[in-house]
Amino acid sequence: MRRLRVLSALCSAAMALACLWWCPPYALALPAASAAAALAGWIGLYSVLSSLSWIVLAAYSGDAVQALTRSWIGLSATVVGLAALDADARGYSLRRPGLVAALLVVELSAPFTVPLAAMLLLRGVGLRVWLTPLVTGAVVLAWLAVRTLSSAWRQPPRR
Amino acid sequence: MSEEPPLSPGPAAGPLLLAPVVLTGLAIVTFRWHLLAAAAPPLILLVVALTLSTPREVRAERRIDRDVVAEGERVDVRVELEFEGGAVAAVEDDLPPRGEVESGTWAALVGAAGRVELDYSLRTMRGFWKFRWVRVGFRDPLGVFERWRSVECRGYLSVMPSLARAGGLRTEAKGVKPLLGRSPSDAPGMGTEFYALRDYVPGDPMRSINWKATARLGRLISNEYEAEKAADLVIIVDSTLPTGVGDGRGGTLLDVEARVAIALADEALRSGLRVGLASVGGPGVWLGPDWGNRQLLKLGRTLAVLYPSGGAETAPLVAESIAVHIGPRTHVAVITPLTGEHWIDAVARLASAGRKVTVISPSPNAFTIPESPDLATSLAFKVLETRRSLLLSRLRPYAEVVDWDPRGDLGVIWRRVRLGA
Repeated sequence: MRRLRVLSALCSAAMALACLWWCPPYALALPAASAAAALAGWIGLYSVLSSLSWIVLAAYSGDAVQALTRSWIGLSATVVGLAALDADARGYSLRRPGLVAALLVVELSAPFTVPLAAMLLLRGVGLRVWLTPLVTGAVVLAWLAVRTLSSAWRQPPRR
Repeated sequence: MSEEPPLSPGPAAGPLLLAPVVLTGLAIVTFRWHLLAAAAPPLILLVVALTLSTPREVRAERRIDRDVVAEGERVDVRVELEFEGGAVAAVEDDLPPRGEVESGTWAALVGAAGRVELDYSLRTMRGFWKFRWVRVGFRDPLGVFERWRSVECRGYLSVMPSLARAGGLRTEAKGVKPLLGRSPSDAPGMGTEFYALRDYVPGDPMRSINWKATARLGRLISNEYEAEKAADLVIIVDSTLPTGVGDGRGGTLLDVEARVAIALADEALRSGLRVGLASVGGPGVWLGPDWGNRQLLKLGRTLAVLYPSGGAETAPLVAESIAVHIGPRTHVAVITPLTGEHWIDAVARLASAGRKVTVISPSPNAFTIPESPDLATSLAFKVLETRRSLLLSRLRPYAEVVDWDPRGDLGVIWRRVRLGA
């Protein structure tokens, strides 16, 4: 069970790295504190500190693409950390991790790809340059998700 | 599918709702409009999470490897779930209130598609436990939103009081006369108690010759002994509300009473007596006296269903009713913490009906007092114990009384009180 707390702390560490890179040094205090809260299993405190780290990370962006990217990084770290702490508190074990991971990828990639694609479309600048890898990536992700889902849907033989 | 289960937010819902508001406010206050782009990911994630937490059709089936066990024994539970369509679901089984999962998992986050199984081993306390449903929460993988549904999935488990936990009776009882046994039949025959003198009959064992009487009368005289006859034992268990105290690792006072009852029953059945059971409070049970291992199992199952409920006001009526239904040579063992005067009336009625009564009284005060009580608690304990002693002394004209500290083992009952039939 403690492994899930470590996973939450790792999410905070990822956020700390991002803060170290893009924000002033004092901003490091927030993800560091949230990592400590994660290790202690304090879900409420982790939620507050991690959300503040996410907002600070986004606030130090220079343009819309940066704001979007940093907000998505902060969001991912916060919600994955919270989900891990919640599972730890409820005593959940994970069954069929492949299917869960496939759906998780779909859930986390959408908040980045959808606004980015919209933004690029609105700008109309370098459309082909940006959209080609983006669309390719989205198609690959969708194909992986559908493949995992369809294999999981197949009924295993009854014992 | 019947009706849509309500949507409940998970821990990530709060930050996802608040962060866009804060980021938008920040953009307005600082005139940095590009910050509005940062509000988009949480809003889109909320929409995706709502879409992914759609409920699916699900069927559940439960298998419990045994339906009757003794306290402390392991039970393997398997819940098979069959989902239609792919989703992520949190699955939580309906554990008995005093159950302890020893291995395996009763709660899981599952990639719900096709068949999924939950397997776990459980140890639980005395009781009749009903597994009613399994709770399934359809959710997105991050748990932003959940829709919980209880899927009916029934199972029953009867947990009898443990003879092993009540153990120590036989080893502790070495050299002590049994609490239960034979009762005099008021007729000559094989026995140990002197009954009368008679002329020697060829075939009488030498040790039965009364040499003093022979010398006095000048002819061979034999001792005659009183034949003993197996009696019935009826155990009356007090399962009124005060017996619900406790519930630490050792269980409630009622659990302790049930262990005493099953230990008595086992001892009596081994001695060839018929054993019956009645309760005052709880569900109010009556099991007529009978012999054998089958009866021991029945007694265990009946003791499993007892729960603390109601008051002791009905004890005198129950006692009177039992006195009518049991034979004249029935030994009645009343197991009660004696928290009120009604039990004195009940025991008096049994005794006046000519029944031999033994009261085994575990102290409820000793059961609940903390290990290192403060001065006020110690004083209160002494007052309560004095009151209990007075009640016990009022019982003594009618019955053999065993005042017992339930924190100790049951062997103490046998060692301390030398009761014969």
